[in-house]
Amino acid sequence: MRFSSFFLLAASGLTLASCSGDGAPSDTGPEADARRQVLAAFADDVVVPRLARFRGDAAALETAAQAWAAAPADATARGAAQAAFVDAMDTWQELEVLQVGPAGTTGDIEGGQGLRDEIYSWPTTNACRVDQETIEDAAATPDGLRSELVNVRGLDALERLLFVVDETTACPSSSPLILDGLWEAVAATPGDVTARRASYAASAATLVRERAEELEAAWTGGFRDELATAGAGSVVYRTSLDALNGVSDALFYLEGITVNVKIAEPAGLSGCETADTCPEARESLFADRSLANIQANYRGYVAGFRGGEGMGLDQLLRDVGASDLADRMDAAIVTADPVVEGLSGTLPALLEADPQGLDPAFNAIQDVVRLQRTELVSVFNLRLPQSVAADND
Amino acid sequence: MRALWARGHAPVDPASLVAFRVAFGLLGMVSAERFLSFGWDERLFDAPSFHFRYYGFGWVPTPPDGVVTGLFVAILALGSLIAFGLVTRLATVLFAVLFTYVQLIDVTTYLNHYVLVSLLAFWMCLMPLGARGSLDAWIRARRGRPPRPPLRAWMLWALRFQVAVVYVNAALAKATGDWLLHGQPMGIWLAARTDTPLVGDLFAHHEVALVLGWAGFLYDLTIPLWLSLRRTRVPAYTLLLVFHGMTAVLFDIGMFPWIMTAAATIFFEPAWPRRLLGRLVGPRDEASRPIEPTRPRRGLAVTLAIFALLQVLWPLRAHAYGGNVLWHEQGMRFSWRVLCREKNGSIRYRVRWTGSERERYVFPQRYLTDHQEREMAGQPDLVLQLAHHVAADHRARGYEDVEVRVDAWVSLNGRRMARMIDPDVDLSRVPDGLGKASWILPAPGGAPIRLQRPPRVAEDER
Repeated sequence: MRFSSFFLLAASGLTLASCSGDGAPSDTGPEADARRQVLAAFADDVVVPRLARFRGDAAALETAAQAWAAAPADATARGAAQAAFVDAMDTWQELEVLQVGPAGTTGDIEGGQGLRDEIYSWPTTNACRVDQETIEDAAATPDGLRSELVNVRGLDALERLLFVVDETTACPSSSPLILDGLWEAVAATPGDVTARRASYAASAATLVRERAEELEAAWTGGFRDELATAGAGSVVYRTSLDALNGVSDALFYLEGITVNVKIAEPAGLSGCETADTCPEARESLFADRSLANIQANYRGYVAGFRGGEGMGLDQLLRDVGASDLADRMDAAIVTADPVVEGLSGTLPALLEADPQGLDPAFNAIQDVVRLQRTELVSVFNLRLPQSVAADND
Repeated sequence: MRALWARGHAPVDPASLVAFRVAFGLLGMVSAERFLSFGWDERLFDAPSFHFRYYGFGWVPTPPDGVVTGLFVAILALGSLIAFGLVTRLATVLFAVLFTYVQLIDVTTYLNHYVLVSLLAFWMCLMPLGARGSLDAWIRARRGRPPRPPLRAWMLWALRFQVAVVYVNAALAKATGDWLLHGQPMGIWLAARTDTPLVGDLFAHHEVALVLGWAGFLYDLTIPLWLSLRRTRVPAYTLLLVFHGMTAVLFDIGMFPWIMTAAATIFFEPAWPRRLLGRLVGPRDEASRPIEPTRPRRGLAVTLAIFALLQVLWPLRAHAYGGNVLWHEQGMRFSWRVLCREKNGSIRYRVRWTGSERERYVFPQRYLTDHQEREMAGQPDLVLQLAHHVAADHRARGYEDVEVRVDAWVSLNGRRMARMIDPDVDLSRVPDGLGKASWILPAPGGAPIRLQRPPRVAEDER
């Protein structure tokens, strides 16, 4: 063979070999099938049932909020709306850990439509902005509220509207709301602030219900199939491994948010240096559901890991020969279960009684997620969340 | 010595060195363009509020936001100047300086092939590669000036040596039980790539990981030799194309396969571009011209010899530390340990100061980007560096007698996670350095994980 012919042939071969890496994969082996079983179970047994429950909870919340708006002075109506909020939030907090696809941030998460922030924007919250909306007429109707920022029309705003009973404002004295006397003018009429909050809550609840329906429809109307057919026809996920990575990324919420923020900061374990504890840094400032939210996050994680009735990541670990890791993750979960579920009362009360009262939950949950961060991602060769897709050698 | 000097200074056909220069310039351009188009200039350099520094290079200034973008634009432009051979020497010097500076900004951007690019660029600074096949030469001819002296054999030797150092050390790095006896981390990586067209199904088999592991080891160890021998050159380069083609497809290894594919051509006969492209390149211009002998320059020869010796010895320093270099990572960098470990870690710092009743945790994300955290988690010296920063940060905020300890759990090649760093050692009092680190715990024993194929799923269950 002439040297030049050989060179050109070889170069062509190399180019073709590289190009095939960008082409359609043949994600068809037992590994891919097993992953897709996990993904289907994650969708059918874990996420979709919770979305359906949340849609129902959101509808009930809307109904209860509308009833309160019709009778703002009725404490029973308000209590019913608060109870409906608690149900909805309990469900949503399980879904917080399962942000795969449409709930995720557009551009950052495959299939993301940014619906999570539309429903619950914490920690992007602003109680003062909610108070400003309270005295503006726009918040009295869903259409008026629809164009406002996410931090004044989701569950986080609803928590303030439903659970703050006094008619004071969270805005500082330097805010226009105070300087211009706007809040004072409304608050001068007893019950007016409450009536406006009730009306605003009804509008916000309608928007939450709409987004809940949209999110469920996004899953049942297509995303569920995208997940279950990852690497085998899905347009969102090129490979089953990409989709599995999406699930793993979502589950890291338990470490990055629940442990490091929701527990560590108020418990004084991190980011709280001037006092023993910082209960003011808790998630749920008005309904005081912070502990319940932590428990719901944990339950969502366990469900996502175990896959409900179907095949979960634990079984996938066993199937690929990592039974030892599956056993240790199961054992860590079994150990953490009573510790986390044993949390009761409110977070401030717990820390007041025992400033180190959250430490056992912090450590127990960390023992679970540490196994995911070190070993599970190794076994499945997954990327960590938000990793830059840089080169590696 | 005189004979060696004479052989080294014998003129050579410049064609292969010109091809090398052009390829280097083009690949430098592509590398810079990738940084810009993928946004790595911002995400890897501008986004972090803290930068990890190489030992002894803490003085390297952190560029203001946006400057790295400008540097990559400059590197791209310099690459084009090198490829076309315009103000070649100056462009090469600037390329070497800027490319190296960018690498020194943050250790977490370390890649072996970036180091190779810097080293090749520094070698090229010593060579008048713009003397032939360049716009410089064309302009010189247009001005009626005689061509510059010819390119010399030592230039080929130096570049061949540099490329061979990479391959051989990459092989030596794979001479481990994990790689050769247990097929890891190859097995982990291949099991995640069963979607590869045509051959993906094979990757699920443990035996394939072992075979490919051995093949990679033997390939790296011997390819410089096969490329150097005329008889084996063609099959060797064919194998090289297959090998680097596979690594390009299977791994996120960036420009490495392309750089090595281009760099390996330096082993060819110097006239290979002439044989490949024929008249496009033209005849060798100095073939019939008498060459004036040069006097040996002992200082230059000794300097180059020391540099070459350092290249041989420096990658071997890891053995002086004992233990598993993939675990303690002392001597890991600049030793061409390319793609030889799968390591994931979980790090949290425990901080105490005067008056604090209990330890407080500091999570790395308070200071690091996700990329930095992932890279740091497996590298003890970086964990130490951040511990120093955490201590300094607390001291700056008025806390006294700050102590920093760490819970560093790491899994190597799928093993059970183990503590990488002694949790009782106050890292704020541990100086950084090149000595053996007693605060790094021994690597966990036992075999790495052995993966298996999951059972086939019945048709009706899919």
